Amino acid sequence: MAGVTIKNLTKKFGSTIAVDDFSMKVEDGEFLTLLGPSGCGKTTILRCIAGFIPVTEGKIYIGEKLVSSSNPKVSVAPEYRNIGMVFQSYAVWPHMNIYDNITYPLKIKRVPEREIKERAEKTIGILKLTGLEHRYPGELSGGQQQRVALGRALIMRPDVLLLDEPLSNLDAKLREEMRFELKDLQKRVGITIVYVTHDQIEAITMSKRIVVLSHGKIQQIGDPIEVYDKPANKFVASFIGKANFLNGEVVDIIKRIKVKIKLEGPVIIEVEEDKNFHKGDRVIIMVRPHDIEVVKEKKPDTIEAKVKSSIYMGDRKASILMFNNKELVIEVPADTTLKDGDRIFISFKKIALIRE
Amino acid sequence: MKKYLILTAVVFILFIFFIYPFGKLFLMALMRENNFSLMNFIDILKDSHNISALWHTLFVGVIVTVISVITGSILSWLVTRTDVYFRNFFAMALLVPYMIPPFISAFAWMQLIGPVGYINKIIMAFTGIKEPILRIYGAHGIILVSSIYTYPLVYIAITNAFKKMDSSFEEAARVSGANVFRVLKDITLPVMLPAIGGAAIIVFVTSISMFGIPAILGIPKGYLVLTTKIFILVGSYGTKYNFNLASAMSVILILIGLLSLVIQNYFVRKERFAVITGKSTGFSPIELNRLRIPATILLFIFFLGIVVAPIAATIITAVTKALGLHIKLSNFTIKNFHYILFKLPIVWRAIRNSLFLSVTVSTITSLMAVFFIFLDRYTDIKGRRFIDYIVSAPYAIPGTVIGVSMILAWIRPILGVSIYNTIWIIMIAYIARFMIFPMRTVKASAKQIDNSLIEAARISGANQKRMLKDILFPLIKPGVFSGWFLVFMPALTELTLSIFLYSAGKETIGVTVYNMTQEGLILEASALAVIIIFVVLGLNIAIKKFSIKREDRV
Repeated sequence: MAGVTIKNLTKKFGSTIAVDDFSMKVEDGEFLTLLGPSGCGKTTILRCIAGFIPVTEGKIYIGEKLVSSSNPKVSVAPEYRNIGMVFQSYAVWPHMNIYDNITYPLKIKRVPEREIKERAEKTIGILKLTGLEHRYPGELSGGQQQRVALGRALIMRPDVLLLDEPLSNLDAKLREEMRFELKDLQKRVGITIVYVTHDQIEAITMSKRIVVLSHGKIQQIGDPIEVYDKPANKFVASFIGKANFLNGEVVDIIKRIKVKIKLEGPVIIEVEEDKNFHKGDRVIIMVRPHDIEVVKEKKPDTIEAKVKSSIYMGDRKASILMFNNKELVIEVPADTTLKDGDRIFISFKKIALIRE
Repeated sequence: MKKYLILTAVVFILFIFFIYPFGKLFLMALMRENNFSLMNFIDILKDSHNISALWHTLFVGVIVTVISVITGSILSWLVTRTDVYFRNFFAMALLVPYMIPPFISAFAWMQLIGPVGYINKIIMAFTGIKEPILRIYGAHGIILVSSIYTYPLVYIAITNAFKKMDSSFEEAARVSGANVFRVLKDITLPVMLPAIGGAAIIVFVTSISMFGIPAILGIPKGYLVLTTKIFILVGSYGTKYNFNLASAMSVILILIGLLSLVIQNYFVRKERFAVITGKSTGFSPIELNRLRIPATILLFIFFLGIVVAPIAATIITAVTKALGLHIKLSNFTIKNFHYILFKLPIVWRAIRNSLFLSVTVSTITSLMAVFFIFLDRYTDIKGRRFIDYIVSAPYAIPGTVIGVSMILAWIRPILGVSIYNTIWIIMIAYIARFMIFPMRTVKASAKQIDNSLIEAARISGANQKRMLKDILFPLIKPGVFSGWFLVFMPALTELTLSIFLYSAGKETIGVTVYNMTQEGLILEASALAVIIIFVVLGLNIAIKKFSIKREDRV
């Protein structure tokens, strides 16, 4: 097993820049997720690590070994990188049965027949595919094919496992199941995983660290809690979860930072913040819908807003409020009474500051 | 009332073009002196000449299939999947042999490696050998020229399959530790096998149906295949029961084609290959590294030797003052072109006939296709599904057999009308032969029209007529256009049907070139062949440009 080190990776296709000066280190045994919308460059980075495409600039190491580099020109072929990979389409070969699919990497390496059998049995057992060895992929469900692909990637004991949106072709229920299974598997095998997805829930629930990407650039690196609670910018805040944004200005700093929101009021709210702000800085206040609560009376840190419309969602209620000609989305307990046109007071349980 | 009118029209069309001629063929094959009998088949199998024609057909068919499949697959892999240079150029250039009518190609190769062809002359001049070394007449020549005509079919089929194949199949094998060649052997080839098998059957059926090439390169030396044997049999009025025997032989030829389709269905078990229809996730071409330049050079040599050389030889012959002169500027002339265009009335007559036939036939078949597809999709007339089966049948029936059927059907006047020895019998035969093309293209575009589009028009207040005019026809127009050209091109240079059915004054371009080669008018035939080659290639390129532009707009 090994980590992956990427230094100043840039990848251009013609004149379009897919990945722009990307650097990061994946620790040995870490579950790292590249998260971003389609076209953000996450798959390109994965394919550079796999060696399917040469890098335009920069270096990639798997463990201590230099596998891709622009100067000196190095490009180790994918078959010599000792990586496992699971594709979005699974790529389970239709003309081979399940056993042949899973054991193919060992056959290539000329592992003795007996050892192949042992390792296959173990892998097939772990992935709950016992009894399906002689079936063909066409006879398997999506979830089973997905596990075959996983088995084929794991049986070779790769240094790194690359997963390219492996759950996106599964239905919602199976996807949830597989999330736990994948996470559990990683804990047991202890393998380094680089996981690519556009699904923020997958990223948050499974990863140790998340790299948020947009337009080929890193927006933020951090563990799930950091990325969710302290987004580095507006893009990260709105890509991961729902978010409301308000403009404000820092009016005072007393160990803690006080932020005054400019609006009819004026309302002053206090927030603990370790980012380095100065008096007079203009900031964006990010608040998640479920971090807004409805309060009975007006206080210095409450806001008065008007209910525009509400929908009942079973376990909770979502409302759109109008405040200072801006829409605010809130999510409150389902039994909260909110009538359209009501003027109500709200306060923020938790906010994050983003520099403008 | 209206329904019965339509139904009568459909039955009438199907009867005239399809049911009656082919029914008559089968009847003739199974009849002797007004009694049902298998004597025709027994007589055929008793004659060793027929057996050898049957054997030649199978031999040529199998060898051509093997050569085409290997050549077409390798070329497609190189151009589609690797990083050879000039891929766009080769993608177009390697298809040229399929655009040139096969009998023209046979004639062109005669100029290059025939007994007095340029290559033999050069070899003889350099080595001092007195006899020509390369032989074009007989099995060798037929196999060579047929393979060159058919490899593009494989190329197109494999290229399409490559484009549909999920590239992660191959990438998964790479990360599993397989190198480029191992991936080719373990993954690419097996996954492509159904496509390759399908292409092989198409080539085999095309090859056993071929008439122009074995007629030009086989008949002079007595090397006969079933199609040429049938042709000769139909023309030999001295032979007793010649029409019955020709019909029976035609039935045998049809059966061979059907049998090969059955075999293919048996071997390609569908379910194991059902998974392939994925979207291709943009290939990164395979890097050939050190082999990149040699592979490109090899492709160029293939292109020059197979595509350019025979055309060049024909051009040189066409501008030579007299056969057998040395190749030098002072021996060149344009008088051959002048002669065929201004001194030979038959040439203009043939051009007029062929243009008339190809324009009317492509228009009629396109309109009929629209009519049939409309019936199939938007009416509830009983038996409408059968139309498609009947109309598609001639695709599996060789042109020679269609020719025989038409003669049998129309040789005697029907209800006092005789169309035998007129241009109309040729037209009916063309329609039967080419009907399938617009049927396919129109059907394909109709398939893309979701029923909701039609329903939305009706909801918006359009009645059936309005819906047809505003929604359906505009949407199937591309299919109609491409169907029209798919008929127009081969009809313009058709030989097989015309040679069976033409009469004095009703010659087509194909017949004229063929007769010139038979009468030894090589210079004139070359000049006409050159004109045909350039017109055909020009039209093909124009259509390609046109359709690309249209795709851009959509």
